Amino acid sequence: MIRRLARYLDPEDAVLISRYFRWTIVSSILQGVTLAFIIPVLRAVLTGDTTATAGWLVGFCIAAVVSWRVEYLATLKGFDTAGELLTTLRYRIGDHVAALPLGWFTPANTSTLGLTLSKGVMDILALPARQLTALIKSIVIPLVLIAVLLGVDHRIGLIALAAVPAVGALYWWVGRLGRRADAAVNRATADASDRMVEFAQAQPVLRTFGRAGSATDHFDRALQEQARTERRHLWLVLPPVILNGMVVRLTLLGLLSTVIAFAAGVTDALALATLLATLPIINRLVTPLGEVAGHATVIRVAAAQMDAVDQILDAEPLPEPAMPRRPSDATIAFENVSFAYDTGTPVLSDISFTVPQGSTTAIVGPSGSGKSTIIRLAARFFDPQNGEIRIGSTPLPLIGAENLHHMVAPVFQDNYLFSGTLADNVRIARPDATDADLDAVARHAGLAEVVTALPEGWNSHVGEGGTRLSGGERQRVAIARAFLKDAPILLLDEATGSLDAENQQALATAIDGLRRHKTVIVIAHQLTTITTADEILFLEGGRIVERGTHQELLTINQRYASHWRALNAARTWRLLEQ
Amino acid sequence: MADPVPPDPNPMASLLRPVRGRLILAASLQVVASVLVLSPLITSSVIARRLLEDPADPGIWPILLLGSMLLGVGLALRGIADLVAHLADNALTLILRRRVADRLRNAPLGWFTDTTAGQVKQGMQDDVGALHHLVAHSYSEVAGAIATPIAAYGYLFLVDWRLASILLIPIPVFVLVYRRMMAGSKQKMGEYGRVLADINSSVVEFVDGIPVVKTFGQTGRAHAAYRAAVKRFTAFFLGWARPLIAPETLSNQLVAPAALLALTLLFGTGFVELGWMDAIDLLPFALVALGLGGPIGVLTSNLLALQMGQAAAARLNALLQIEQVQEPPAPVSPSGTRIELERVSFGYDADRKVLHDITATFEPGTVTAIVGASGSGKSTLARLMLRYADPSAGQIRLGGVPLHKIASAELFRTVGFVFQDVRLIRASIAENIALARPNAARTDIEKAATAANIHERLLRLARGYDSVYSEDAMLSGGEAQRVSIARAFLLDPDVLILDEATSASDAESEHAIQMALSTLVTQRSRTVIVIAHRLDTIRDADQILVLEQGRIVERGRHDELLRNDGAYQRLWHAQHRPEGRVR
Repeated sequence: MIRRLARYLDPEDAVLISRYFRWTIVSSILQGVTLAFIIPVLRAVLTGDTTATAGWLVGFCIAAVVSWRVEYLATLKGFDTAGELLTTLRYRIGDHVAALPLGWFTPANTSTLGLTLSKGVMDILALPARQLTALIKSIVIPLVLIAVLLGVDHRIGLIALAAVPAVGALYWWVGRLGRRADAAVNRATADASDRMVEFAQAQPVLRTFGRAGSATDHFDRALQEQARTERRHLWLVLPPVILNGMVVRLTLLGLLSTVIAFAAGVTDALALATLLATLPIINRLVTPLGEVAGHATVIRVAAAQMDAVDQILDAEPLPEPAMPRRPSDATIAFENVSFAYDTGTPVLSDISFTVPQGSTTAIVGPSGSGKSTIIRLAARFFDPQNGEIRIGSTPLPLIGAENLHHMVAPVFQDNYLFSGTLADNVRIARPDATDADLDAVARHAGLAEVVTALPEGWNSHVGEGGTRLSGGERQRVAIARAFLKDAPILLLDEATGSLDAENQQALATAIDGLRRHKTVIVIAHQLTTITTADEILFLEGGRIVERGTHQELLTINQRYASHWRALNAARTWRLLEQ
Repeated sequence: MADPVPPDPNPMASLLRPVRGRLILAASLQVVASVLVLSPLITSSVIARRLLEDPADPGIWPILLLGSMLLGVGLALRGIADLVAHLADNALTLILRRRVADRLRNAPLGWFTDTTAGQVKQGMQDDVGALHHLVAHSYSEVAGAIATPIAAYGYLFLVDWRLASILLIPIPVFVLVYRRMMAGSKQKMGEYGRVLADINSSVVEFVDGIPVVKTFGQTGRAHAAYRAAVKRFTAFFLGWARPLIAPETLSNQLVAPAALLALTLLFGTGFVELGWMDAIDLLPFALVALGLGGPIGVLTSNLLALQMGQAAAARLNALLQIEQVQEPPAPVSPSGTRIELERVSFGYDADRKVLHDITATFEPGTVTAIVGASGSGKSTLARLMLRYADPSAGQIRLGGVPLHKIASAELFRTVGFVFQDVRLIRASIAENIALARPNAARTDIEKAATAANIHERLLRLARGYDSVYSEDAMLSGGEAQRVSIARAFLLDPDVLILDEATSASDAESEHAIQMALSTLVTQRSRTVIVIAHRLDTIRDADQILVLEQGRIVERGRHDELLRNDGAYQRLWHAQHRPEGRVR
């Protein structure tokens, strides 16, 4: 755990961790030693030895004052470590993900990343600040007291020493029992709350279609069934809860009784006093053992966060060439490209095609056929497992990120806007663009009318993630970016399912303007985009099953032709036409 | 319509009322148990005193046995207290779920949005969870944590009241230090909340924006903003927390065993020296008094649980006060299926009107299309006819009867809908189709599915029509949509309101939906109202209403409207740009 934490810090700061660790151990030992003074002081008092009492009391006071001071200093060390972790960890993760390939940024990964950077870091830094200190204390203090007992009376010491692993094993078992019960209960609860949400969401349907009573009775029965399930879980949940409270008490009773059994019949006053004086030590020894389990649970949560951090830090950036090469032209070639995501099921198999400079290739096919993976590979979101992708005869990995960004303008479906002004968001494509440039691209992208409608024009704030703009407006910003960037290659996803008909038309016109003189790969949905493409690739199950121009493919009258007919029928459908 | 409920001054108390008796029982048991589990410490002290007087005293064994038995009883009582508390929690959870379900059942349909679904989820999962912790654990833990020191001090007072009084000193000092530490923290907490929100939003921005920033080669810039936010947060956090270390360590040390031991030993030996107490009486203090810090820790941690519970209770109570739609006391049956809208206005709140002064008639046997740009109020108008909400002004009548005078069962028997946001419930596909007629014959269900173009697909499911949606019936969006159309076929309503399906992801799937809708509309004579997005779809409608910013600006048939130089013509041209787009 200490070593894992040290890994998160810069090498020169890693010493902070070990320093904290050492101080905390010393502090815990001192606290144990302070408590151990109970034995000599009590023994001296019980045997009426005033000078010895005074002497031991002085010793106790010194130990107490030193241990308080050291505890404070150890806390400071822990805090310094936490402070360093707080900054370094966030910087380090930030630097690392900035270098990761675009393909890494899946919804699952970004949500883990977001949680880790906000909450996870705080959980981890609580380790040296609190959690770890508490755990070390509740382990070290009993050990010190056992050592003292061994010195005072080895029988009691040995019995106490034997009790510790037994108690530990018992707690481990109870903890596992408890976790299992919790998991079962959490599943049941999550199930119940899902049902509630479903019930709320389906209200319109349930009420309009459901005959009064039937559907709601059904739901009420489900709730009762749920409650019965949860009640059945009680016999899973309660035993660990009850056992948890019992272990410490029974251990304490056992050890106290042992000491009393040893003390009974001892006539030597000093020996008897010594034995009786160990009673409070035994109480102090057993109580922290009961807290270990609780601390360990909290630490397990933090450890899970550390796993998440490690997973992020272990993700590999795409290799960058030592000598980036600038492609000679904008021709794109895929050669025997196969690709699978982490899950292993192939998404693309043996894809080969060439898009000559200045031409348009349309990708058509049913959903899930791998269309968007092709344009992601072209933008080097990932490297394919097999085959090669080239721009102007240079393989993508040799081009280098910088050159590739200059060559390729993507217009995808998820058009993220960062908070800031509208102008900032367009200018990201070319930071030195003049206001006149912005106005020009806005006209082409159909963004001009959006700018005029906004109260502060270009200087209007778009809100976090661009939430103050509608989907259609965000898409226009993306197109304006692509216009401003004016890269020779355009990667386009035309899917506009979420937009209304007028927006779709406006965007189609804008995209048409954008396509001129560029090398284009487009996931095509608009009829004219498909019919005017220089080549159409019909994709099915990750393979190109047909290719050619619209006319050629219609002539062979296979998969593409039937897809086209359905598409055409859908676009020209009339509700009342029978 | 809504029955206004005054805000509850103590939401927690009213939520917990049904289990109050059981909670009090659990807490009382816990109090007794907490006192009893101290007994081994006390009997050990008693035995020690006896042994000092007579090392061979046989009387110690019964005392040891008594201590063990009392401990046993205490532990048993504790177990019972846990059982009672958990059973109370179980009962309360069911009661709360049922009460929420009851309110949901009668809330206006307009209440249900994505936001409110989130509220239900929060209420059911997080808030009920917070209450669970409170009911099942916190109350009895707090009762025990209060009873333990009282019992311990009580016993110590009996042993020696002077030393016991001395040992009380750390408590007020602790409270004082703790208070002073917390005094500045309220304002700092607010500030912390702001810095935290700041860092969280820059994290979100950094994480979500990185793909875009990277594609444009501008990583450095977003990165700089993120680093700046991290720096600000760290500076604030360290500046706030560092000065707190000293008082926090001090207050912890005040109630830690070492401090209590110091008081016991220093004053105790003094008192023994002065002859105020017996030497052996120091032992019970060393045994019992040192653990006083433990209950304080339990109290402070449960204080947090209590605060969270209060917030949860307030939210749950809000959920339990959703406005309710009243069924008409004397329902009137509509005669016929003509729908009339008379000067209908509607707004979700007073200054944001969505619909203005809408007057229209939908004749039986005709098809009316409602068209307009997105945000023009089309969907709201359709939802008013299903009584998602009542109009703020004007009246909607079905068969001559205002909607709010029609029993909802009768209304929904007459009016059916097919909307885009398809909701299938986690039940078998057959049940999903037969929602309207739970006793429908399987052949009728299959006939409806066939009409909706989904029968073949359903037969291919693992258990056919008995497959359970989202368990072993995984359907695409387009397929789910067709199941919901099958529902409408089975209901076979006299009035049908539908949303033209915009493109599903697949052309084939989209066309299958379209064909199903066509069949549904033309199958028999109904009153049909269509919300249309593409004007081609509804060019044959008997009546077209053109909505612009919540008002009807034009109405008529396609040919007439196209000749008018108005809104419809503009929309039509926007959707039919000249096709000369060849490069």
